[in-house]
Amino acid sequence: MVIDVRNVSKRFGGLRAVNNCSLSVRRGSITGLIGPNGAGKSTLFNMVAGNITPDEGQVIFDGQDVTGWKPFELFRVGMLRTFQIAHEFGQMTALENLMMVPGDQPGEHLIDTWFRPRLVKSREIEVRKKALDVIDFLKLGHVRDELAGNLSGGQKKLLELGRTMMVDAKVVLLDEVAAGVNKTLLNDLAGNIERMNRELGYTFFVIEHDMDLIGRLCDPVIVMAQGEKIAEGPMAEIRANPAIVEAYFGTPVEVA
Amino acid sequence: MLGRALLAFAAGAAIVYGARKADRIGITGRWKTVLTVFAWFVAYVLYRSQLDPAAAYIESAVGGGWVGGLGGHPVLGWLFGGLLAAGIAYIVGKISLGLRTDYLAIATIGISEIIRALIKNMDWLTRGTLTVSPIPWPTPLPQSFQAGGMDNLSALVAARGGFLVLALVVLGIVLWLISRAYAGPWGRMMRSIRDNHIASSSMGKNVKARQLEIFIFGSVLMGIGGAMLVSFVQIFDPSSYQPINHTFLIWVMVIVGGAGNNWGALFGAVLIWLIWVISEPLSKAVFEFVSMWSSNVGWGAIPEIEARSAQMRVFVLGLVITIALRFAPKGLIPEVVKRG
Amino acid sequence: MTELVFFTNQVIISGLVLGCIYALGAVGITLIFGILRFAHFAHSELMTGGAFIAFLLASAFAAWGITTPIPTGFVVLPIAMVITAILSLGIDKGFYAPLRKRGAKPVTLLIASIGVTLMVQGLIRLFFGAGSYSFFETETKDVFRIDLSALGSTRPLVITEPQVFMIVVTFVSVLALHFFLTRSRLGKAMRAMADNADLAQVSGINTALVVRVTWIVAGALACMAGTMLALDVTLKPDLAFNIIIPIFAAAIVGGLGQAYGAIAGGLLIGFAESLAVFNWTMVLRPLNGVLPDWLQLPATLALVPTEYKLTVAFVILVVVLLVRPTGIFKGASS
Ligand SMILES: Nc1ncnc2c1ncn2[C@@H]1O[C@H](COP(=O)(O)OP(=O)(O)O)[C@@H](O)[C@H]1O
Ligand SMILES: [Mg+2]
Repeated sequence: MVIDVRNVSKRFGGLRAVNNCSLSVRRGSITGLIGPNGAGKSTLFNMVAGNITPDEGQVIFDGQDVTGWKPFELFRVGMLRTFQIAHEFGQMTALENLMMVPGDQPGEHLIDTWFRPRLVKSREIEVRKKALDVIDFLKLGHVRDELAGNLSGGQKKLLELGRTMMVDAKVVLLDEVAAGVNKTLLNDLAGNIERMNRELGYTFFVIEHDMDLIGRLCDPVIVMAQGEKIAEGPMAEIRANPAIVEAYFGTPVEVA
Repeated sequence: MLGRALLAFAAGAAIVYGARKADRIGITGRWKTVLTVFAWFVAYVLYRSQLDPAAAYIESAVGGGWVGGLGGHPVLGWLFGGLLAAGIAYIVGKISLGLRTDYLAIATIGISEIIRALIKNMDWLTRGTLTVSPIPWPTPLPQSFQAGGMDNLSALVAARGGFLVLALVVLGIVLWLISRAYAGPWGRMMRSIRDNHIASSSMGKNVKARQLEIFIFGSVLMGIGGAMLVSFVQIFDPSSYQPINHTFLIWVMVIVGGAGNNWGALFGAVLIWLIWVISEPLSKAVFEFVSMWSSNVGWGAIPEIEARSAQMRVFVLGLVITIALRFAPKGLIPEVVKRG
Repeated sequence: MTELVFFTNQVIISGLVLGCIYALGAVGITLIFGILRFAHFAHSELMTGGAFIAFLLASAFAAWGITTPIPTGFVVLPIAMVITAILSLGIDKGFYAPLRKRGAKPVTLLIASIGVTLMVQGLIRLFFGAGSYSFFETETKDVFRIDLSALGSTRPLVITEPQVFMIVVTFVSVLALHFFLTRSRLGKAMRAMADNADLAQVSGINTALVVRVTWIVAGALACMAGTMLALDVTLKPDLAFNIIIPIFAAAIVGGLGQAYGAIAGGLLIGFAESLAVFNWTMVLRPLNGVLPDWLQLPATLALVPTEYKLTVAFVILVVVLLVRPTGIFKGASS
């Protein structure tokens, strides 16, 4: 198990967003996380990725207790994420949004910037090349030098996904990346996620409302409702379970 | 004796640290708070009890003793000024950078007043109101040009020119260092933190440490600037450093010039400095004109024109801030957002 | 007994007087923060400006030969308060309202208020120079020395006439403010808006009116605080500028946005300052008789040296900001 969430809870005021929830993600899997809006999925992601600290419980990553770690520390041990509401760097170009990601850039240290320009330069060329590849793959070439703040919602989402492709991660958390992305690109994306999973051994943990996409990519699928995990299994099983259909598919699914 | 004060300081720090870790031995909650406050008190008393006699001893030396006056080269002093500022900025940043912007502004103004009170009153360290002078110049003084046979005016010009060249060299080096860092990955990372610190943290940037870094970097530059100013005017008089004509003046320079743009800051600095120095003679001229007119009409002359015109500077400074915020909120040379 | 009287003179009266002034200033700052969500740095200039207006009025009274049984400063205070209130409305209209309309950040408004501070300060110095003035050039400042020898004290209890008035006037104004905030419709609207501005707007509160009333109340109280401070010490252009950070400390300690908190915070800071520089040797001296030689009390035994008196407020401010930025009474900070 690469991620192990143990009895985690988070309250916002009187609201129990996540309530004594335990679940785990197998190494090398593409695990889906579904559930009605407000089920606490994003909150759970925030706790796994260190953006908020759980009130109770533990998060184990790669055998290590990472509860209370800062996001940047988790990044360094190989956990990357996207945000449901795009968190682009609005005053930077799309290309810069990608180029800022790699963590071991000598140019991020003042001393190296000033006194080892050649080292900085050669690394910068590599980073740029990598970023251009990602841009091409995401078909964002035409907005490469546009400020990220001016991109469309879907393009921002792609940019978020692109950031996770800039480094070799162990685990990638995707929070509704597909929302607002067009179908053809979505197919490409799904193909790429599968390929990265198969060939490079990435683990994906995916929140999605598009059931077809979940069905195609994910095994297993975890269902959350009202802050708790209510089921886990292959998509076919989930669809066949009347209690879940009642809890989830019974209510109209808003895509937000 | 200073050594003993230092020991007392260390002991005090240990006591406070111990109290904060008291939960290890089962003291928690309110009792821990009480214990921590008490530990601070004990540490403070301990420190004061050792420092006071040491301070009195140093100050009692003939002519007002102090610990400074080591006789190093002024440029070394400038560097030390930067270093000292870095140390202070580290402490200030550590304790206050987590606050919201307006609380942060108030907290830093409060802290700066505390530091100013300390500098003003710790006579043993800084000579306080006794002032330190003359402070040597790194370049030859006018007197030495005069000794070489120059007349007064050209000696002054030559000496000040020398200082100016040195100052410009320092400015050039600093600008080069900043531009280089800002144009590279370092600047990109800093801008990402400014744009969205949550995403930046999730992309592996240690936001807090980086904010502290840039705060310290800015403070080092300010420390060097202060040290240069002190050696230029040749006198260190802590009570002459008022927020109005230093802190706020520099703020105005940045706001008017354009925050986030080095050329803007530079331009603002020169422009505001010009306004600052010409507003006095200019208002003096205006006053004299009005005074002449009013005495002709029979209302009598304006009294104390000299003193009044000196105060015009403060008014003009305030006016420039408010006008700039209202009509050019991004500054005269706004930050350029880089493309491609 | 002598010691107790000494303590009363040095700590209780001086702390109370200082506390009253801090409290009145802090109430204004806290109201402005609650309604407009920004730290109004120029409040000190409303105080100083108000004091100078009162001073001009008092001088005019003296010039017209009007003498009053109580210090003229207090007689002209209501007029000065009205003028200062109008001035604060003008300052808001001229400098802050346009920025608010543009949706500027709180820190931009804070810097604008520093600009206003400099302008007003410059203007005051322009007209009055840098010297200091006294309200008591033509009349005398009565000092009451209450002889307490009957109680066995060798020292009298000392309090000046303006100090007595000041304490009474502050008490009355706080009471009036309390009734205004709890009983009048406008006062209730103000509290509602401080709690939640958006909600107040949709529930039909006339927010523009509330903003105006806020400036009127804040300006009038600032004028009161400034004038009383000038009556207690002397009037000079940096009268209130020097104490604006302690006043902010009072407002923040009380929790920004909370009127009652500001009053408590003001008194707390006032007493803390007086207490911190109090020379305990004066009170504990009788102990010298029983203490062994090596433990004799030094000539001065104060928590901090007198020259650091104002610093006490700064330290309290910084500590509160770090440990409990919402203030000790849980302010509406957002
Ligand atoms: N920062 C927050 N403050 C208050 N409530 C929050 C916050 N974040 C989420 N919530 C609430 O927690 C619940 C779970 O939200 P979320 O985790 O975003 O659900 P999901 O992603 O499954 O739609 C929702 O009711 C939401 O309103
Ligand atoms: Mg969500």
